[in-house]
Amino acid sequence: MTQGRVAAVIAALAVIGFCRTAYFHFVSEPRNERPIPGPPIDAQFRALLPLLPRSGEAGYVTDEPLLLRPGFEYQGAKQRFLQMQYALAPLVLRYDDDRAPLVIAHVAHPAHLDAVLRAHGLEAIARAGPTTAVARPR
Amino acid sequence: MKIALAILAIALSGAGLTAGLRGGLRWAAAVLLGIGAWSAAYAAALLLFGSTGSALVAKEIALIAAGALLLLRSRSAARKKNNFFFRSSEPGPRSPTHAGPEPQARSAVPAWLWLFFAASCALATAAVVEHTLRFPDGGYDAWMIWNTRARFLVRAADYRTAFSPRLLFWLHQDYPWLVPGAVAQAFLLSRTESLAVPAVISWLFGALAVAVLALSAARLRGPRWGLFAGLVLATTPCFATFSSNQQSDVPLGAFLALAVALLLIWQEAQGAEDLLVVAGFAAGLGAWTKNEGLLYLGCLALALVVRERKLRPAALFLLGALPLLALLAGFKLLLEPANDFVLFTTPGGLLERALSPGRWSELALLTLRRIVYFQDFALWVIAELLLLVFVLRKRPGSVAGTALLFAFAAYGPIYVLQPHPVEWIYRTSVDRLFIQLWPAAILATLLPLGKATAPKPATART
Repeated sequence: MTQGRVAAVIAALAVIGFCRTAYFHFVSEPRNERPIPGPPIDAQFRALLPLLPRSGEAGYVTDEPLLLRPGFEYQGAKQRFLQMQYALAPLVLRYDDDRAPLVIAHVAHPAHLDAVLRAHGLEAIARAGPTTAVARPR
Repeated sequence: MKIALAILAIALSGAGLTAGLRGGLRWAAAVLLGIGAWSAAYAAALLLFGSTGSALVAKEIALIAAGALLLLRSRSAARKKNNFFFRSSEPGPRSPTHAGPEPQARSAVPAWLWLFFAASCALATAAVVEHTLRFPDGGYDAWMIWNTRARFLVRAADYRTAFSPRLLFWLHQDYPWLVPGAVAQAFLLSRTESLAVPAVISWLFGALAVAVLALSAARLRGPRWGLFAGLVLATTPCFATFSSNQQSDVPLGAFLALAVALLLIWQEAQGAEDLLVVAGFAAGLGAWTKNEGLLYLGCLALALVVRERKLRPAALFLLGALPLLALLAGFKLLLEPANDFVLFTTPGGLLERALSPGRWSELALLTLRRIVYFQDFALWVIAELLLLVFVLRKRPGSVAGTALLFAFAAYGPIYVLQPHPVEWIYRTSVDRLFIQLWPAAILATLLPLGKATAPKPATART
């Protein structure tokens, strides 16, 4: 094997990788993915910020139980919880703790919000959109 | 003032650590090691003194002083040829042990190669920008783990909240925090938590990975091979995506590549032992970047013992890693963060999984299928395997190649013994492991290939 052949092989493979990268980012993604600019996660939870303390802990209840063991498919409920934790840090969210002085009810389906509050014995203090409420134990 | 102190801390600590290197590689290595040392010192200051402003200023001054001391000692030691640690690590160009490229390799590089390399770097950067604009918070793990950790470090009155057992285990409180430490400090210095901060840091680590790879290959085999190495990484499709994801895999890949590059230079430039210490430091920063880094550090140390058949090189390598290993131990012992592998593992379950033929065969099948995963790897993995089997297998082994082989072999039992379904953990992790190992693998592959294909010097006929 000569250096010339190695150069030719590397160049050919690099052209393939180059084309794949260009196709994915500039042809496929614009067609199939979310638009530019993508919505930042913080924007979803902005209405919640004035209703909560900046630190400490808050309970978190929802209509779709989180998978509490790794090893399963992508789960929307887990993503919603973790995105809220990311946005509200350093407030620590306590999953399924409905006896905390402040509890966030965050549901996938707006129609479920009142049922979730009732099921956990919670009284809404304020609502931050159709799927989210800040509550306290009755 | 604080920004100036931070820049000085990064620049001087990086320059001091790389005082034994020369050329472009020195500058790329200095920036990489400087950022790593800056973040590690931040973590050490927090662990020792808590989130006090004076402790953070003191650690900047300590880094500046340490860097300046290393530089001063390097200069004075240059005059004393026999000083062990701080003489120039690389042999001079006239030295008989000079590890530089063969004269033929230094010949002019064709213009198309320069152009192709530049275009590939530009495309990768454009892809990072495109992906970042579309996903401004980074990939899933970025906002689930790394950037959430940075926010906790900056926002919480007590930094230990970031590792609280009261947080859900999905935040992986046990992960080392080199990248969150760098992002948190950049937040503090810029007085903003703009989403651009982690995005720029992520791109910078990607650029440094390409730079370290290309410049070290160029250092050892000439600019042509340097451009080949950089080209391979820049045109690996998943590299740009990972660089935009703001996760810790590309930074770990950069530290591992630097450690491997320094070991290869040391191996070819027999005797410059201080490179081993700096290589150990780079591998230690990898261990402070992600848990997998500790495995790679162990594999490199073991490979040094196996290949060199003496303990001294491995001991010097581990000496370099010692400050980071102490930091890692301090973090794990002081804060005792839970590890989800341990959390879900029982001795009975471990034995059951080890003896399960189904898990082993599933892993083998998944690995075979992944080799042809064109979306992420294009044809690079197939080419790598063909080269290993048909060309490099016959070449003498290197520390780098042996270490990578150890790491690859270790992942077999790790995948089988871990407590989660093999298919799930494999699918969600293997591409990240690939991008951690790939820059080092490119070096370990192309350098022997460069040697194997070097034109033989003409001999005079009689």
